[in-house]
Amino acid sequence: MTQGGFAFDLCGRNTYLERRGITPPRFTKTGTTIAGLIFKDGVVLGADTRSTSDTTVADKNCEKIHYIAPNIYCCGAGTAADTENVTGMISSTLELHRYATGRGSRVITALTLLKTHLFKYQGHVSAALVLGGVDFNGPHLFTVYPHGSTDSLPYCTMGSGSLNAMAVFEDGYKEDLTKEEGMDLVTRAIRSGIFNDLGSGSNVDLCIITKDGVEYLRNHQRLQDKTYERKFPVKYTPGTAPVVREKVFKLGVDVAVIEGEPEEAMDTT
Amino acid sequence: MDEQKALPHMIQPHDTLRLGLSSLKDQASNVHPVEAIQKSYPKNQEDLKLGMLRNLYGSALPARMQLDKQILSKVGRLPGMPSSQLGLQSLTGELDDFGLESYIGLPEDSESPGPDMHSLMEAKHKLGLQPVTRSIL
Amino acid sequence: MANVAYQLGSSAFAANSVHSAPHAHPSWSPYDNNGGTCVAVAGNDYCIVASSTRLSTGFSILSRDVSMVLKLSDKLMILSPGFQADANTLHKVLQQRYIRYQFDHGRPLSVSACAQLLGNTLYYKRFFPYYTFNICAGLDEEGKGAVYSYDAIGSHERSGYAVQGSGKDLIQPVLDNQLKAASPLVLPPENWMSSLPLDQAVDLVRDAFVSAGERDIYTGDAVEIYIMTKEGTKREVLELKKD
Repeated sequence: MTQGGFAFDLCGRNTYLERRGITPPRFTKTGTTIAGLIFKDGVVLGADTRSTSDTTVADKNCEKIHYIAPNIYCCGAGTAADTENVTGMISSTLELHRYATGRGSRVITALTLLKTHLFKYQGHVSAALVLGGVDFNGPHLFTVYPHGSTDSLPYCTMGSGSLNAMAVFEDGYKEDLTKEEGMDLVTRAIRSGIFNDLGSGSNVDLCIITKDGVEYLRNHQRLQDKTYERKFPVKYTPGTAPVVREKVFKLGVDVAVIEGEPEEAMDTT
Repeated sequence: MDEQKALPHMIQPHDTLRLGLSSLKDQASNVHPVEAIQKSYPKNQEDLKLGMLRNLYGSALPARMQLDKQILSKVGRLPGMPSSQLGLQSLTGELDDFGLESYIGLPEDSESPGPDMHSLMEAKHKLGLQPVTRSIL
Repeated sequence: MANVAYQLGSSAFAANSVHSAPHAHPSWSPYDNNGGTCVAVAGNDYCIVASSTRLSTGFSILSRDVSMVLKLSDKLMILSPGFQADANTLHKVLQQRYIRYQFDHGRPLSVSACAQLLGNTLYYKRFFPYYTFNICAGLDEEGKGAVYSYDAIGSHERSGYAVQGSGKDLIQPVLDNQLKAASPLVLPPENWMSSLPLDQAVDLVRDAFVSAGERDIYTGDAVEIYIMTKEGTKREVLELKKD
């Protein structure tokens, strides 16, 4: 009979309204710079922290590096809700899978789950991802496109600032980087997105995954604070919003339980 | 799905009292592409899998699997009452799957009441139309 | 005659771009929006004019140091956010008209005259407009601040302050609240002029830009602020966030 999944109850009505020239609401997109690279003993993932709704900044410090498994993380670009829900769902799937098998998750499993899901929805679920992790086969890094195609790469970028970040990678990437070199290169890549792409901004988040564990560096770099504080801040004196009416209820201090039938119905108005 | 492009054939009389007024224009209007995907996906995957097995091992194995599936899908409470169908879920492997349909838009969270049990029983015994849940519109 | 022909040619051109004539490139538009925000605040004896310096298109920054201000004199400025190519052309035309006015009349152009001139210049291109959203600001004959704001085709009105450009939606309500704009419907009519002292008004303008820079992706890099008083014009630059 009825089964779970997305609801389409009012889609017919909505297409009718759109034909009549009523525009549906916009979604929050993470116009984004996300990037990742493989270094000597693991993976570094990086992301900016701006999410935009059209041309306004919706969130100045959002999280774009999502948890997939204890050894796997995933950066998301595209529609914010899609990236969050897809990564959340895959992390739940993998958690159950680990309970069932008693083994650690593999990055390729996460990749296959993500791409089958995204391919099923034919690009309507718009999540562009950079998936990275370390399993017993070593470090892995993948990009996943909204239609479900994937790449396996030593260094990769996604989002509206991907070209800015890739320029830095193409300039600075070499094999067998140390952890510090890798962190620095990813930070510079994200920073170039933050400063040169209007869809990206605010701070740099980093996530370093090695076989020994995960370092999630939230706001690894905070780039800029406000450049001016008001000399004459607005102060609203008490009474700015006038009290129109006042009513004070006195609560009974002593309460006692009296047994027997209630004398009259309780006033519940 | 091609069916929604054309006007639907009326194969049964419309049950106006139960289903409300019908209009061919409503039924012919395009469904959302994702709705079409969501509806057809499980069936397509099943057909794909059985087709593959037929090509590999001949038709006996898929036929047997379909028999198993049909037997197990008969197990359950009367229509309108929840059935876990544990056997079926175990056979298909659905038990180990976790996807959107496991936690989004579950029938028990539905905003509109499901069809009444009387109509469901009628449908089960092929006495009436397959009842539909009317959405809030 | 030549002007008329040009005008007809251009409007046909504009129509083509909208209805995508078979031979024209279908998706090309003669217009772009380069973002940026402008604010002007008039006081009893001053006029503040401020504009952000970032030039963008889409999600890219084209320059971090471009002015949207046409400084005609120490008492008269025009700010033009919107499409930079049109703003440049408009500024060129207005600069030329300003100089010719002085030759013809032997005195500088007043703010009110300039406001009307700008209105006429914009309305002249009613059917292939300059895609700019101007503010004309300065000190009037009495030395009071004067601000006029425009739509793209020349409708204008004098007001106590004005905001135009990509940060308008963010800044306008703040100024409405802080500068206590009296509604024209309030009776008896109230004075529309800002009552703030100069230093507080400048403080407000700075804060408005810093805050708009936090949320509007097209407002950033720096804001140039001109303060016009009877002593002359002072220019200052406040750095904004670069992301």
